[in-house]
Amino acid sequence: MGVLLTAENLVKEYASRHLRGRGVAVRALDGVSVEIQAGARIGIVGASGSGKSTLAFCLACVERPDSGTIRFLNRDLTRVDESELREIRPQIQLVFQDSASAFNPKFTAGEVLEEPLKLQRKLNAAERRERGVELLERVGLPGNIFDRQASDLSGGQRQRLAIARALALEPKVLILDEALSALDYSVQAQVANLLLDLSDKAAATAERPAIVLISHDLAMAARISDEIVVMESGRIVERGSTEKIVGDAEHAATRELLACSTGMSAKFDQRPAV
Amino acid sequence: MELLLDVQNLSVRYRPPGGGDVFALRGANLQIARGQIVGVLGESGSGKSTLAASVLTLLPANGVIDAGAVVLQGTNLLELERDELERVRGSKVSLIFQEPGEALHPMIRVGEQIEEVLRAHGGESKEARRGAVRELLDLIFGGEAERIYFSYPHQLSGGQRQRIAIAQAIVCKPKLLIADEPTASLDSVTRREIVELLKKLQRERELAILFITHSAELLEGFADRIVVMYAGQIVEDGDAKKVLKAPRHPYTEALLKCRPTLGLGKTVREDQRIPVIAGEAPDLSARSKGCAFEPRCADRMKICCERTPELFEIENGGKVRCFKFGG
Amino acid sequence: MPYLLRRLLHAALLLAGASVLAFLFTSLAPGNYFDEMRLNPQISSETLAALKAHYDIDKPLAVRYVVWLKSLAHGEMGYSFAYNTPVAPLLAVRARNTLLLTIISTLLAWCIALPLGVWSAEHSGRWVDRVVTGTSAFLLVIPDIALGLGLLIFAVKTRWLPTGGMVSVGSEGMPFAAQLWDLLRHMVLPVAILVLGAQPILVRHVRSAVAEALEEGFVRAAAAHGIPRQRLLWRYALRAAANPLISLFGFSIGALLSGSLLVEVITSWPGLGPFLLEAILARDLYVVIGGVLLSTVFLVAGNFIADVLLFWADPRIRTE
Repeated sequence: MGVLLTAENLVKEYASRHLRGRGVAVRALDGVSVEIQAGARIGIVGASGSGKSTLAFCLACVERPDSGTIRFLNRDLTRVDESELREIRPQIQLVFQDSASAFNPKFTAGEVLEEPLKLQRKLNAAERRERGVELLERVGLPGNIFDRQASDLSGGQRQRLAIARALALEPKVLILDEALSALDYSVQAQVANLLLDLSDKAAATAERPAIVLISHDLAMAARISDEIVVMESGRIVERGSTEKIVGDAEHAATRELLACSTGMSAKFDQRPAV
Repeated sequence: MELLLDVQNLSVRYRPPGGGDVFALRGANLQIARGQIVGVLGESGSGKSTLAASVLTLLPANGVIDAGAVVLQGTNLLELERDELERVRGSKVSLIFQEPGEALHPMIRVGEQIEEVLRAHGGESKEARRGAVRELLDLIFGGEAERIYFSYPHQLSGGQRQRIAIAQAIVCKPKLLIADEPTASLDSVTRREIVELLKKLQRERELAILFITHSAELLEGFADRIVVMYAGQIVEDGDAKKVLKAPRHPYTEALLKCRPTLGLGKTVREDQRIPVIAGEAPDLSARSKGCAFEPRCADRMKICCERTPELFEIENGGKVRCFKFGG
Repeated sequence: MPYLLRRLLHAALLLAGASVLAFLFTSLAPGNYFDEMRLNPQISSETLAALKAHYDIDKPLAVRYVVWLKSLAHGEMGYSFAYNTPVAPLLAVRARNTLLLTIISTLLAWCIALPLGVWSAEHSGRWVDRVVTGTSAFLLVIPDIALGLGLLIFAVKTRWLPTGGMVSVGSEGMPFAAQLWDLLRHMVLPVAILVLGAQPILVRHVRSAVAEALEEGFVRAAAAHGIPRQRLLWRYALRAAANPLISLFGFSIGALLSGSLLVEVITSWPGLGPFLLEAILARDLYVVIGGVLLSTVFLVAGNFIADVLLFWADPRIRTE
């Protein structure tokens, strides 16, 4: 499988000033390198302030790192100009945590889905509607949602709509920044299953996007990722396959994250999954 | 165990402007003893936040209490006048919310905001108040207390803000703290820290806590009792360990199974999906005849859509609202 | 505090720019003071030429601007052609009269609008709120001039109040207390018109800002802690509503010199407004420029005061 997206030595600083004017620079990213293969499932975990969201924004070209390179299919994204970037952006899509503010609440679900398609200008109105319904099906939403206002949908439905919108442009990489964290557990499970379906190894490589899940919940990340990257204070402190991280974590930060999220699962007597 | 709070048959309805009443809470019964930690487990729409808000009569304008009583050591809080209620809030029973960022005034220093609560409930001098607040901040923040006292909310992290909210809630030494999803917007490490803080406060001040959450794992090792809510009703009520280890109500079982497992060293099979609860969330605007969970229940029987089950007592001291255990 | 320094610099640049534009536009307007005189056959063209030379009318604009700037540095603002005296003292007297009116009415308007707006917001949706917003809408719709004339007619009919001017004839001879009383009686009408005219906008803004603040999470959280209702309204809600209101207050200050023109004309109050109007019609160049500049100073000062107040009131701006 080919390498899709690589980040090399990313550094990003934010200036934060205190009340009395003393400047303190915060290094959100301090030399981060990561590689995403086509069709891969990667979880990036860490506590808040670890830099994981900043990494997501840089990978999605929403923010520019202060130094380091990001390569997408061998093109250096930190060097390309705005018009080339516009071509590349549809291929790397980002879904946020707060679905409520992710789209115009007055839009209907259909309008939300059609917006990226309209910007592409390749389909006419009928084709767009068809594609919109197709997308709804793909994320498990009923077709009659098409004409309902986005603000009328439940949290889980909105998040699925956000994923559908991200899929509209057939991205090669789908980055989800804490997109499941605000959901109830039964709804989280449904959306997680959706992500598993989308990246199912059984489907053709061309159709399935690489999935990058940013989360502070190691358990959820482990459930849908093959590989896990652990961040702390802007650096990657551990990375490896899910089995290794879960079964044999080395770094203190990893162990802390494990303790905070598996306290339940470790002791709970589970029946075998259906 | 001395009974502190007794919620009796509480029913609450919302009247949205577009019409169509929403029955958010139906006949809820709940007892909390002194110093007891009770966890309320439920998803959105279960009525857990409504329960929390109703205790102190803090419902939004379109909320109506249809029936029931909330008795705090002999007094029905629902019958109090506004000024009497203001005396109870914050000093006998406190409430903290989910979004700590929104719970603090953006333009007032956090130390002062804690002092405001003291000021509202007592006649001490400014110095006495300041001293009490400093002491509390030392307890909660340790070395950083001084700096934090003078900070504004936007200069603090989410976890710190929530700790300030907790400080505000306990500064007048209430007997009961109601925490409505206090950690939902915090990361997993901070969540544990907040839970540890609450445990410490309960030990040192004999503080009863009603901890509302949708994250079952937080209640483990923390709550004494767990109450599970679904569609505005309490469906299970029992000892925390028992409810988590061996849930009786089909909903509780299904909910706890939805949590992702790590497999702990065992490989999770590629095609294994996470268990979900079949069906859609319940429609709270309809009053169904039968059990609210029936459409999604794997164990449903004929009687389940004919009548609503009551809370039946089971042998280990718990209660379950399911015909599998009675009726 | 680079923020305040930036705002001060901004204010200074604004003033400089305003003065240039004022000079430019008034000078560009066709004609000058002396054109009127040309029509008068009694004034010889030599006199006219001499006057023009005396006042430097024919010198280029830039030169005149620099000369004017220089005199400004000395606290002088040029010479009035019509009155044949320095502009500054003329403007000073008129400005003082206007400020007497506007400062009192602005204070009164805010003192009425704040509690009214807060009260209205607290009872949002109920009859108190409807009455207040209804009355505001009604006042907003009535043009100031109709309001003014209406009150004027009322004064004439009832004879309770003097119908114009600032002081009664022969008031200089009265004892101080009587003079003061006389002044106050004359002020009632213009102040009433100004206050009624300002009410609707102020009340609406206070009401909506406070109503919005009351919806905020921290008000709910404070209520949960037992903070009494009154304190919630004034210390929490109003405080949070301060930002838009401070900007509005800055605007009120900015309009202190310029907002009362119409009222002064209707009630014959000897303020800056009618004086400037006269000067514009007569092309009394330096009076006009002086007046415009003075008004601009107030406008800019008002904005700057608002910036300072915002800086002081909102810690989020301070730590930016």
